[in-house]
Amino acid sequence: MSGRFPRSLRIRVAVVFLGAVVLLAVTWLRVAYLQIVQGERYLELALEQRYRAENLVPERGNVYDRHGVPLAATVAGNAVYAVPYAVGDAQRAAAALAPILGQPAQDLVRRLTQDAPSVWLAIRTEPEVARAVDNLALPGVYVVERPMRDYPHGQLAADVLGFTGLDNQGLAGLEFQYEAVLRGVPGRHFSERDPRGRAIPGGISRREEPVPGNDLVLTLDRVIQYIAETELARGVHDAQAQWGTAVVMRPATGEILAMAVHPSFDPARYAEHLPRAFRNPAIADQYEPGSVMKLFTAAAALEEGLANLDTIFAAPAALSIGGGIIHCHNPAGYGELSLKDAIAQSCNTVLAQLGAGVVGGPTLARYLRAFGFGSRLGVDLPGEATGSVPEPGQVAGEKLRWANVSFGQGVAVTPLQLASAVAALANGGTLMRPYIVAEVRGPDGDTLERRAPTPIRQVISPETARDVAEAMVAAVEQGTGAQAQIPGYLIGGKTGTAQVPEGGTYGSRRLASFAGFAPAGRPELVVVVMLHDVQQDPPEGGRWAAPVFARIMSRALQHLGIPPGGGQAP
Amino acid sequence: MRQIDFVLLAAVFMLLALGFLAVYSATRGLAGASGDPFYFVKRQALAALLGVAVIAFSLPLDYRHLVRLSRLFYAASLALLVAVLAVGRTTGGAERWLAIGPLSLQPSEVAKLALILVLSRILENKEKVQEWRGVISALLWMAPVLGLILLQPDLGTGLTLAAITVGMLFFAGARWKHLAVLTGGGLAAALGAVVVSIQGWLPILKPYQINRLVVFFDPYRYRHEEGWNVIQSMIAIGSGNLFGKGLFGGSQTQLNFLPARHTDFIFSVVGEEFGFLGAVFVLGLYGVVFWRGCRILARAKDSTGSLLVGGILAMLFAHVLINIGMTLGVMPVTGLPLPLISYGGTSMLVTLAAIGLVLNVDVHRKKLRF
Repeated sequence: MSGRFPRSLRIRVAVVFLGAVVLLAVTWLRVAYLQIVQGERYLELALEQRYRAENLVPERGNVYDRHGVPLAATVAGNAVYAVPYAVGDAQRAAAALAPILGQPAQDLVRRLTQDAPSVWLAIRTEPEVARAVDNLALPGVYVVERPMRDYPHGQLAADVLGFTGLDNQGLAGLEFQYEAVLRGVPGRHFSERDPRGRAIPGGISRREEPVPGNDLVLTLDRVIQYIAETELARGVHDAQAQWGTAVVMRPATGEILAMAVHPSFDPARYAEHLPRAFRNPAIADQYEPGSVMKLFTAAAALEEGLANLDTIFAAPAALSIGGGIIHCHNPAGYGELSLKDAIAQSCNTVLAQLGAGVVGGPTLARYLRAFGFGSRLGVDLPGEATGSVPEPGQVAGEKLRWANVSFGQGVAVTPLQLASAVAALANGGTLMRPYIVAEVRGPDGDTLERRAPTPIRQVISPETARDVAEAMVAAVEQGTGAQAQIPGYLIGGKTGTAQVPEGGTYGSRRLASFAGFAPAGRPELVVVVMLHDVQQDPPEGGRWAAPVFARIMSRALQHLGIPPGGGQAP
Repeated sequence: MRQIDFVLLAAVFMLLALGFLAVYSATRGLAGASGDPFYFVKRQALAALLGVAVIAFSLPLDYRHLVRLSRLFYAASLALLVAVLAVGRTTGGAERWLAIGPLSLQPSEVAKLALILVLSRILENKEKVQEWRGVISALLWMAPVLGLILLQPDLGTGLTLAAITVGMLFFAGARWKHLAVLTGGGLAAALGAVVVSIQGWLPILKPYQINRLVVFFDPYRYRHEEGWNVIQSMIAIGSGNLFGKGLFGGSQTQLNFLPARHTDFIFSVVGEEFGFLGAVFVLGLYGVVFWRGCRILARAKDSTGSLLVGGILAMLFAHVLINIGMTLGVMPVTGLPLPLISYGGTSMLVTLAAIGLVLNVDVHRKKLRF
């Protein structure tokens, strides 16, 4: 057994002890550096990494029809999201979620493992689905409340309303056009969160409340919209047409009461109808309208004093003009016709003479432009097309071209342009800017902005307008538009049957249209109906579009209580 | 029997008490086996109670009886280390635990004590220690333990074993020259292992160990992976400022930003919730333990006792320095517990048993002087 430590070795103990003290002191200094010198910075870092802002989705404004019936509304909804970092076993989570969310598991795995702070798994989920997900209590998978867009009337006015995307952002139609008005201001919720992103109970929390969006009150009448859609659908079916559009407008103001497209789509499931759902054909597509354009050729001649309704024109079966031949739809011709009868009978050869010969290209083009063709009307809907009116003096064979334009070929218009131009004829010659939003209301219902009818220009004199209207009445009473008649009412209107250009020439496809107003004398409504690619024979506007016009018009008049003499019902 | 060193004992109990507080604060939000917020503290307290019982029952027994059995302990712990490699439970990429019924044992903790016991016996011969063969025989005793532990792998414990061996050689009277060569050689070997692994010539270090070394120099390079722990620990301690955020008031601790906060990173909890004053207090308590330990070492009745205390002090000091250094971002991350504070039954039991041995050396220093 050895003895005690020799004295010399005690020095070693002292050395070790001193060394230990120095190392401890260095550790102290390090602690002091972190806590005292850098303390403020670390305090900030600690706060920063747990203090996060979360966007609060504002309640999107509602869209109401003119009587305050909601067409698009915001309702409570749920969404499911995941924080990939916190999920852990993505395969297991995906397997559990797939049947509930109705999504393929592989798809879910891909999103659950995405390198992102958070990912959406499902948006617009039903309450039961949200509860089922909640019950799974999967780590890193959360359910949040999220206001969602609802269209209580389903497909009604889908093309006008448009739709919203996953983040409630407007993507088409009014939802897109009025995004800034409807959206509101997102709020922010600053709160302390743990590393998995869950809010800490009792932590610092500050909310900047979201500001709800404003509401829109439309000029649209839900009932008339419904009438237009159902009658248009029936008309498309009867005519075996590919699709159709119908516009109902108040001629005095330019208010759009209905704008129907058939077939339409369900805005809640817009994704199944792309890209069609992005375009509203009533304003975004342009067509060669056919004989309805004769009204504007006549208006130009009357306004210029070059003819009156009683001026007699030769009405041959065929007319050789500018190196081409124009045919009247009556194989025998009419011999001679007054201008009024030529409109009523829709004889091409008369109008070709009048437009290309009497009025002349440059004047005709000027009038057509004045009626709003060839440029945007400035309606408050997205994607408006300009249509096209030929530029005078640009091509050889100019005369033949204008002869064609006189009865609506070689010129392209949108259904809305046609409605607005007919409204100008019906209201005494003023082109009104068409519009669909009558009022913007704040979240608590007070009016922020009320839209007044806006005249674009006086196109023709009231006298000329009255003359054209008279010819339109004749067209319905004695002419091609007989099927547009409504018992008890005097109707003015014009048929159109256009050849549809296909690859530079005209093929067999036909566009049947009818544009008119009622009641004649004091028109309250203008209705334009277009049926595309009519398969029934004969594919004429008088045969297929006029009855649709009549049904829409009569039901709308009835709904509005407009008596035959015009004016509102008492 | 002489009086027990109550100053040392008081420091130990204060560290234990602080440890319970810190472990409770760190684990009350963790779902234990039963959802009991006291689950971890209860287990910790049980281990501490067991450790105190070991001290109480072993104190009357002269430490030299234990040292005589040291080879047996040594053999047993080698067997445990082999067993852990064969059937051990893997946690965080390393096999360190042996499951015994509901308990799990960390043989590397036991092995440290076994090595101290065996070295304090074979280094008694001062003439031999002054020569190379004495140094080499100590290394030969260390080698099997070190080898088995590095296979787990457990670099922190390996480092502790080296500290124990070098420290005990120092106290045993080894020559400065030999010690310098030994230390230099050890450092060179460690550096060699790192270089060889990084270059991909020989995978001595596992990828996670290399990454830990990389983040030691630049934690923000892997701030969401290996660097996360260190960054969160430094934020926790740094944001504690002078007075701390108060018990249960530490956002880093309570909101799960700190990983392994009841075990390896318990000092971060102390620093965050008790602030600079708390951290300094804890460091001071360890200082007291070393001071009293060195006092006992110098007064021991024989070199066996001195070596025993010296080895234990080296072990404790290595643990404290490596663990706290790691939480402060000045040492690489290794899985070493903070003695008396970190949650962990084996560590608690072994540390208290070691304290018991130190007290034992003190208590029995005069008994044999007739």
